[in-house]
Amino acid sequence: MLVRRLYLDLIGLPPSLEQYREYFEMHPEDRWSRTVDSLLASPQYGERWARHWMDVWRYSDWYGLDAQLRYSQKHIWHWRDWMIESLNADKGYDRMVTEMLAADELSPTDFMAHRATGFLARNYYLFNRTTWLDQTIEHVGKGFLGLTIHCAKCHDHKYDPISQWNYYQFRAFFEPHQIRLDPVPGSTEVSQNGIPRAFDAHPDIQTFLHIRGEEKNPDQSRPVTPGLPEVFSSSRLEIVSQKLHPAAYNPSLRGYVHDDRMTESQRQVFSAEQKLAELLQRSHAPDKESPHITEARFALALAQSELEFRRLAWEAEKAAYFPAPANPNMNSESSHRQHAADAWKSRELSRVRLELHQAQMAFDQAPEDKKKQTQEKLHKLEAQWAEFQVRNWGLEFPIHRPAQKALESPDESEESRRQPFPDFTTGRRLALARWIASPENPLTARVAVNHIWLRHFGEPLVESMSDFGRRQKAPKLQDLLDELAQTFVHQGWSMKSLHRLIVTSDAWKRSASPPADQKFENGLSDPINALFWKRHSTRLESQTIRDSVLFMAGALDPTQFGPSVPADDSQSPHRRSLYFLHSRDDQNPFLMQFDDADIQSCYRREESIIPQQALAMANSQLTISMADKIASHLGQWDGDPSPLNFIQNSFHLLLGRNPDAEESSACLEFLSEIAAPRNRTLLIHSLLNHNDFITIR
Amino acid sequence: MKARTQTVPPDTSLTRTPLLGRRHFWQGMGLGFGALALESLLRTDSVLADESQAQLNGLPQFAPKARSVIWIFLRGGLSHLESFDPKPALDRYQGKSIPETPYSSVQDPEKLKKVRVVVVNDANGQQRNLIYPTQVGFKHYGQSGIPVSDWFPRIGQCVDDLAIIRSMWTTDDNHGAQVQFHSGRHMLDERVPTIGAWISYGLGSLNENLPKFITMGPRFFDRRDGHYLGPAYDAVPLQVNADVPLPFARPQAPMTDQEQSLSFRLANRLNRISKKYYPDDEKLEARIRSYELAYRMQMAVPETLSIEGESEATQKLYGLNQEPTHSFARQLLSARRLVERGVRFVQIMHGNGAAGEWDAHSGLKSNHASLAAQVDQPVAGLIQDLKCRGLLDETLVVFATEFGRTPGSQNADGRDHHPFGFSIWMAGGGIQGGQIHGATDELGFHAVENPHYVTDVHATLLHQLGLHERSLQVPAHKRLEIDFGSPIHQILKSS
Repeated sequence: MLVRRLYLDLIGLPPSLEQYREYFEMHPEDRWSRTVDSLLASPQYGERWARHWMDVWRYSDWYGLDAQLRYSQKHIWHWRDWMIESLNADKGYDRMVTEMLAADELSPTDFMAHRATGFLARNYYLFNRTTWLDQTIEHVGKGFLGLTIHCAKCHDHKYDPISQWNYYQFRAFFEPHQIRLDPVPGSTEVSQNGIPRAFDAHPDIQTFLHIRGEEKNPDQSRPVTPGLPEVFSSSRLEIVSQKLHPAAYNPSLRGYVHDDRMTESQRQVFSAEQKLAELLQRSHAPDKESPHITEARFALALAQSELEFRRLAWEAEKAAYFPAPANPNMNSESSHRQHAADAWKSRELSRVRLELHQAQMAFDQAPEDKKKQTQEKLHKLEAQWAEFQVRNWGLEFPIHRPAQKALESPDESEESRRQPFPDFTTGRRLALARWIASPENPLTARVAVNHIWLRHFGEPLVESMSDFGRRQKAPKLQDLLDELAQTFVHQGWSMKSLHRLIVTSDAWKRSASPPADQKFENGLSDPINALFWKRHSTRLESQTIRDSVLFMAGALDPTQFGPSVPADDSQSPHRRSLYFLHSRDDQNPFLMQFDDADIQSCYRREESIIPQQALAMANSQLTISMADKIASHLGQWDGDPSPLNFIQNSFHLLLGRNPDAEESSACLEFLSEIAAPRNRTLLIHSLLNHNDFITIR
Repeated sequence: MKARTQTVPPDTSLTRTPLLGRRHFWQGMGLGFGALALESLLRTDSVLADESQAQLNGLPQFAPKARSVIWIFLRGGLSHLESFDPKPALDRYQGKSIPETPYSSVQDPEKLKKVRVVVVNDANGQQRNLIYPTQVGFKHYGQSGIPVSDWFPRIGQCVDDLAIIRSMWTTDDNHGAQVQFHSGRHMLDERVPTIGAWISYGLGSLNENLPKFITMGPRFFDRRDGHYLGPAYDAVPLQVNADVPLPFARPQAPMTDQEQSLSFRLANRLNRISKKYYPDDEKLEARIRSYELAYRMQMAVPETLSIEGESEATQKLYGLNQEPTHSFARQLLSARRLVERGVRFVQIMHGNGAAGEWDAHSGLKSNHASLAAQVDQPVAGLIQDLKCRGLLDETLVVFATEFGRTPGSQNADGRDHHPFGFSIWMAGGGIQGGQIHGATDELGFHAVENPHYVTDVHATLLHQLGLHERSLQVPAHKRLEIDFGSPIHQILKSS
């Protein structure tokens, strides 16, 4: 039934029996368009299509060797969430592409938009910058433009008009960029949660052509500047460097960063107060204070001075970047600095006083053999205390640097990762992004339309998804591709509009089993169905299979967004599959059997038919336990307990169609041969293993 | 050789509608690229088509010498200097630095250029200058009198069946060399199919009930094999000591065998009924057959891995019921049972840990001694067992590692990674045993005589299996000259 295909296409889940019923209760005239609209408006639409784009844009969680991060970035899931949100909001494709390449330059202070540059962060590679940039260039070319630019790394492109020089011009767009983790609201430490994002870390860096593609052999006689192959020379490329707002390059100036730090500090004060109150309450000798109570007092003093320091440091930091207009009543920057430095001094004194006290306690309690050791520490702190009293504290205080740049090589020190970032950006990536996402670009819209078409029809209009170059065959339906691409652009690159156009078309509604006369005629003239005169039968993607099984059983956890969940089913609740960790090292075993997305490159899913899939469908915890749930759910659905009704409902829910007489009788026979209630579970289990369950046609 | 019986076509995953015709797509895009040099293009394609697709039908392309491969791989880097390539000079010059020996030219920067460093300034993968003496004795074995170290006495007794290649080289100075040994490509290059994937791509199944390509033990860096050939060519992982040897081979939730069989039967029946609506649907037909195969496979795999029926003598031969050989013995005995039943490629990895246990940066002596004790008897047992059963002739056994170890010491009592020259061996499947092929220099530094890059091993395998290495290509994924390698003809039996 077509409505099942519609649901699967748009939201990646089949309709429930309730939804079928609702559909058939609607007025036949507009029920199709109403259903299309409501599915496109549902939050699950973004999840379904985000997973498609995660394939194309090469989503991968970080991986490496043990704890060493080598590829991609931590918290890269923010990029996935950005995809879901953007798709649900029907953000234009042009805008999405621009944000992925250059959100930091497009909207320097829209910090959540920077999640989009996870696209670039995903290419991070610890050991070799050239490998990293090669990946970026290759997949920007293939993914957005259908251009195999990467073929020109060592020599001019053999087929397309892209010279080796052009390759390095392309590299120059990306040369200055690096990746860093920016703080997110609600977390004060980027290792816990942060946004991996691109920024220009080396605006002045030069690019050189590598002779014969050899990294060790750069041609330093002639620096390469960013630019496009001549064939695109009619397009304008405007590279404008821009000065950044201080909050963009210095995240400590962001309100939420300060607020979170203050909240954290206030919590510490509160818990220090509580601890002290508890100790005082338990104390039996009010006239003589125990060392523990003194310790708690000192700890509270430290927490309070830390809070005060944070507040004043923030004021000082703001004053440094946003100088107030000359006004004798306002604090000058230097007086802010003085206040912050004073607060730092007092915080440091509180800290050493506490540590000194603790060292004294440790010394007093130490057994003989530890006396010497504890005494040494005590002496050290006493010396520090003495030094602090006479130190000229000046205007120095530590500046909070919440963001952390990715290591540029395994040699880089931790310290250099927290240094200030450049206060301007080259605008190179933004210029490139604007060119890619412009209506005049002959490739971008066509490549996008081809991707979307593939995922509606099971076959693309252009066979080589990532290569629209000269070497490829011309598409049979180029007029259609062009027309759709034009419409797409005219409709503001709205993907939802394109989906709507497609799923309301006659072409999309065609069946894989057309009437006999058509089959005969078209079969003669177009035996391979290049013109889409009938539906290409397509297998569901791995994620859709798993999600559908859970959904039909009423067991799918609808929670959206957030950190990736362990790829092992037994550790994760039944979240939708796109939330699984997905990397070289983490892949869900069930999904793996069904041609899960290859993290290296997946412009199109494979569609293998191997016996391991049968084993997974037959033997997995997922299918066996969900079959049970589906059976009991169906048994209670419409109050008609008859076996025939059960069979009909089962076919409806699982296969989206009615059983024919032969099927009904086979199933009736099956139910009668096996004892209830197990017979119904096994019937559902069989239908999960039916080819129609995993097939769209 | 049995005829190929094929249940699922080897290229099911590639059943994509080919688009016909070829026109100037770019012109249509308003780019005005002009006419193409189409003639030469088409010619190139047709030449390729002749050599590749036309002949790839799952059958050997010429008379094969072997039908299966058992691929034993020691992860981490076995020291060639303490296994199959003894170097008296190391004892003579122990404590001296390489520049102080007459062989200082081994460190000629030109000669060191081969290496492509992955981890710059890493603690490992460096030049080690202080000559470290051989840590183990060697004895001469067999009629050939080939020396093998005392850590591998039983493999030594098989030496007349082994062709030892002492002149391997690779380019990765780190454990990415494991990927490289299997695929021929350096870690910094793209991921391409491994040799096991190519063989299962090129050759059909000999047993309907078992996968063609199986892997046991820890995986190397990459967990995939097929890459652009698709997941259908990934190795199927088997666990010999687990209740469920094959993923999803047993129900993961309560379900009896009888229930399962009933459910399979109904699904099969219903699928067949629906064929009337889609009589031309090849995918439906393939799906039905894949279920039949799966059903047989879940029976066949446990039976194949059940070694209880093996005689006590056989079990003893492999060292099955004792430590420290038990675990590897079980894998190798299973490997024999798998190739006996027609599995094409069985890959067994030895050495846990991220880098691989053989990675003896320090304490080499105790490390290698204890690891060798785990593998020596099982490997020798496998060779003897295959031989007794007349299977050695048609089974090619490879014993390999990603690189050797430095002549100089690291951390006082270890050796570092050494990609410039190292040893592996092959046996059976038409390999002439009892010979040493190639050589390293006096320090065991560079492969100097008949040097072989890793893909020469791949080419040798394909040659023995009856496949033209160049026929293994798919459109849009051009393979490089170095990917193909050349068969090492000198180690083959003359026939």
